[in-house]
Amino acid sequence: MSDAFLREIAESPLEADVSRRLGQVVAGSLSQGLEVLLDRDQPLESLAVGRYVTIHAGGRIFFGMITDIALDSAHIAFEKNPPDLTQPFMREVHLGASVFGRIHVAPMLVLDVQGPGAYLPQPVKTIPRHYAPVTVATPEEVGYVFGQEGVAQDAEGREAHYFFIGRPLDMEHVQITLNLNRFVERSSAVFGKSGTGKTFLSRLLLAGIIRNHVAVNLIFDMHNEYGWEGTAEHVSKVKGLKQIFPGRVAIFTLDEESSLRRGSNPDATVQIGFEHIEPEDVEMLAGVMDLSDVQVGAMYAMYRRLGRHWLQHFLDDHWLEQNYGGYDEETGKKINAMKAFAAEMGQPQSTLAALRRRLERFTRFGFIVAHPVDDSITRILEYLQAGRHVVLEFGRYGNDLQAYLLVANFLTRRIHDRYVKATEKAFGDESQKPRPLVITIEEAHKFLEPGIASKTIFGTIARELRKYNVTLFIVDQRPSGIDDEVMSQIGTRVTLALDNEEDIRAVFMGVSGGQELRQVLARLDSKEQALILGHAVPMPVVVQVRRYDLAFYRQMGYVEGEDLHRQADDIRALLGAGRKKRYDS
Amino acid sequence: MLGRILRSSTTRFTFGRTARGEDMPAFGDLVKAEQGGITLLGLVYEIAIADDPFVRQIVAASDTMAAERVEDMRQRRQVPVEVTALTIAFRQADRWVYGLPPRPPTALQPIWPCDCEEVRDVLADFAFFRRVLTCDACPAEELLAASVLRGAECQPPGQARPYLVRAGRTLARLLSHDPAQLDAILRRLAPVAEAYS
Repeated sequence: MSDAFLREIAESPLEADVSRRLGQVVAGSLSQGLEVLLDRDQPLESLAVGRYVTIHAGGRIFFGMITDIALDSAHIAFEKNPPDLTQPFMREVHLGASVFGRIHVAPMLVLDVQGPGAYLPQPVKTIPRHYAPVTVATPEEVGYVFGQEGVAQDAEGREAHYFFIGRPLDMEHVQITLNLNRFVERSSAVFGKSGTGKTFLSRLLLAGIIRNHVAVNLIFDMHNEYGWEGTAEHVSKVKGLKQIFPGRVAIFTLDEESSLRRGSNPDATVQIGFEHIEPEDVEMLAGVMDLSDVQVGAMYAMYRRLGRHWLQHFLDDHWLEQNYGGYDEETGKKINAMKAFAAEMGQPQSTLAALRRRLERFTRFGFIVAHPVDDSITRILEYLQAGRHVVLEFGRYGNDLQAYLLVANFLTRRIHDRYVKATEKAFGDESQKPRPLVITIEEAHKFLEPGIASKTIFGTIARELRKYNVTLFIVDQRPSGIDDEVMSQIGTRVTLALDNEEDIRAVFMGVSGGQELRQVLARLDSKEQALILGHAVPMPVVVQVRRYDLAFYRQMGYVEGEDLHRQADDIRALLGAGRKKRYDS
Repeated sequence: MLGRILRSSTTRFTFGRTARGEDMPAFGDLVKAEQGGITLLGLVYEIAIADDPFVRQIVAASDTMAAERVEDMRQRRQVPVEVTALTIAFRQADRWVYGLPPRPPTALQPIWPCDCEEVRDVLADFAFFRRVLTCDACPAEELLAASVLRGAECQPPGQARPYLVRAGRTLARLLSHDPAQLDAILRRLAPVAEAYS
């Protein structure tokens, strides 16, 4: 942060702000925000919601965001019966005096004096006095609040990795940074309607997490956009995380054929054994599979009776026939195996028949096999604990919501379970704790909708905060479909444009002053503009998200072409092979 | 000298004068009087010409009268022209105070016109607007418009229009509760302001 800025504040804050003055505070409250009367010469047309203003009062600097812009008049008659403004004199007199502009400012943060030249960003607990001058925030002021990209200490003295996520509106030279440590500390979310760039923004954030080593990622990549290659608006293809961070990102796949066809070069294929699937894994699919409560109950009943082979046996005609079929010894008639099985299980035959028809769908999923060649859970955990990030591609199964929900729930339940055990084992010993894990899920409302959120592992993780070092990174287009309790636990919300009123309301669930920000969110550009609020930023901010392009790859450490050769040469030289010729020369 | 005080109070004063001479004050003019070392300033808001027995007789006696005789009767009236001014400020200890003086001018005190420099100096501050607007006995809109136009006349070259705009904005603030009255005054100022453009 520039010393010049602090010096300017210390010396003469008001004088320094004259040229940037917008108006003065005339009313307001801490809970409802501030009303600012614009000075006569301020053109309303050049203002925009989402911009920052500063208010110097009482030796402090209040930071606020413009959340609404309004036209006002000194008397209702000026609206009902407008004065004749054909003469320039009348315009000069009335505009700004009889009729005027007003902005609504939500106070977000205050720079408190800590000593000579030392200012500490604090939450706002009071408001500036009447008629305090309001000025446009300078790039230096905004930069001071958000800090520079890199590693620094946060306000609480902890190490923090700040990641450049975008630029504030109309401030091309200012970087808005996220505190990644805080971003992964609690569950976070990217919301936005379809086509606004959720995946692109999520890739950026995940790249930041990988680059800064703040956590390991497990990404359930529904549409194969994160691992090797993705699509984007401005170019036909963009690099996936594995291309940018080779050696640090592993691609697991449920559909090896699809992954190979796309050239994503998977590290491992995930298989799930029938015997590993438990009723809890299927229960959360009740909505998408149209399972009734009775059918869910029947699954548990079978599990109690048959143990871990319940599903395999239940779907196996041969097993049913062998164990429950045959011929009645007395009558000689053929025994209905399903009927006998239902009787044994204490369930109505019709219930089990309907359940079987639904569960038979699993047999068409190529990744569910009778005898998996590898323990995928252990394999994924090994990668994660080695600090490698895992992208699980779904291949053609990405279009099948049942497959996505089943696998995500199946893997997450078990990985979370291992994390819980590892964390409890390491109780009190920070060095023994497992690496912080961030699990990325798309279509999150399917996991977290009211009614099932309390039963799924994802609802549990969201509510636990960082207790077991596992947090969620939710990517979703329908925040209103997510359970309120879960929403209130989401630490950082990065929100792209949303249209639906309910979705907008949901984003601000549990956010102090959220109502004031609704106007800001409702007016985001439909592409690559995001409102970030919550745990990882000192105050809500609207950003033009940075580009995901070659410059970004390079900043993340990606090398290619000549640079790669040069790096290889350097390494050879370091290893004593410097005199060897380059392969391409 | 414009005339002498006939009667006065702290809020206004009336002076009498002959109808002769070129220096007859006009509606909205700024005039001054001295009282005990204090200079009082007033805005002329009423100029009254009363009748007398001679005028009555002449008017009643004949429809046709020589022009010289009419002019003679006008000039040599037995009753003075009465001019009333609203007190808006007084000067005390070298500064203008926009309010009412401690005492009114006494009878027969002379009344003087204010020159342009004084007009510019006194009317630069629009604090007198409220005094005029709250005067029940005055035609407030007309008086304000006339006084502001008088103030504009006395501005240096190029400053008359900005002065009128400043005055207009002040009025807009003061009369925000009464857009009709505001409009009436601004309509008086606007043509003059545009002429200064």
